[in-house]
Amino acid sequence: MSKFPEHIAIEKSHPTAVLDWHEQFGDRTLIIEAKQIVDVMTILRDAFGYNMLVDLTAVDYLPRRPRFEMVYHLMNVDSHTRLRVKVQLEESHPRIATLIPLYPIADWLEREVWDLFGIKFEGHTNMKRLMLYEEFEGHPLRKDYPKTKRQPLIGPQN
Amino acid sequence: MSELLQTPMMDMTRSMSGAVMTTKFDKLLGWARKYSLFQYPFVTACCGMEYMATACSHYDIDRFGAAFARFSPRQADVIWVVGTISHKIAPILKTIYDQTADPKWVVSFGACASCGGPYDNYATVQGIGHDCSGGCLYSRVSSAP
Repeated sequence: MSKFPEHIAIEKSHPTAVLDWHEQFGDRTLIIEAKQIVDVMTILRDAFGYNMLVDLTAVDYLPRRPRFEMVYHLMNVDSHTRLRVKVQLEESHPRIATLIPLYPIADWLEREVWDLFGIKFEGHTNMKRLMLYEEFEGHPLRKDYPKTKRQPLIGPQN
Repeated sequence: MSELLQTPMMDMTRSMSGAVMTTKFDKLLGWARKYSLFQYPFVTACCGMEYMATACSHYDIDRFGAAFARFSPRQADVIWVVGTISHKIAPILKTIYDQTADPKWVVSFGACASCGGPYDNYATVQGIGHDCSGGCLYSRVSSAP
């Protein structure tokens, strides 16, 4: 298994950015250091034509450390190639830079991740809940959110 | 409503102190035809897709002279709650219910609106019973019309 071109190009300009990589089941994946995510995404978009952010989501791997993982699915619409970018985040400081300047679609996707996982996006100017209501406390897709906890707006606890 | 109660099952109705009412289906149908109920469709989820199919031209529930949809709660007699109700939309349903003029009825279609259905989670109201009283539960997942 040899390094793919995106990996080599990123290593040239940002030698510490790529922490790991794999090509499991044909899905090419780069694991990137959190601080350099914007630089790496800029290279991928401008030099490799990954002009579409298909999805942006997160995974809670409790009790693993680092606990959270951001997952970005990129696609080059012209050549139909796909790339996954993952970033691992510590539980104590789940923060990462916003991608809105690169991909405007990231706005709502990042609000969804904030809503359900409680990962903050630095530079996002409208960090409000997207799915749930403002009064909701906590982030329900975290593994330590109690399965039976209910927070109804009206009516009794059910 | 009194003519609805003139059935052999009256004793059970009394013992349940108004929470449950039994009647014959023909009587219910006749009563609904007599008063020509207008409905307000509160359509939220996949049951709503079946409602749309039922209401639109292919199946056309209007050909029975029933199910005349009013999109203002002030003109409606029956609220049809068709689909999953989340905690976020529950206050809106409550407002619609409060705006409907008396006498009013609520029909809850499907398992989701009646008891939460498969969605026993943080987001879904486990049955609209506490938001809208005076309801009728039709507790079966809507199938194609």
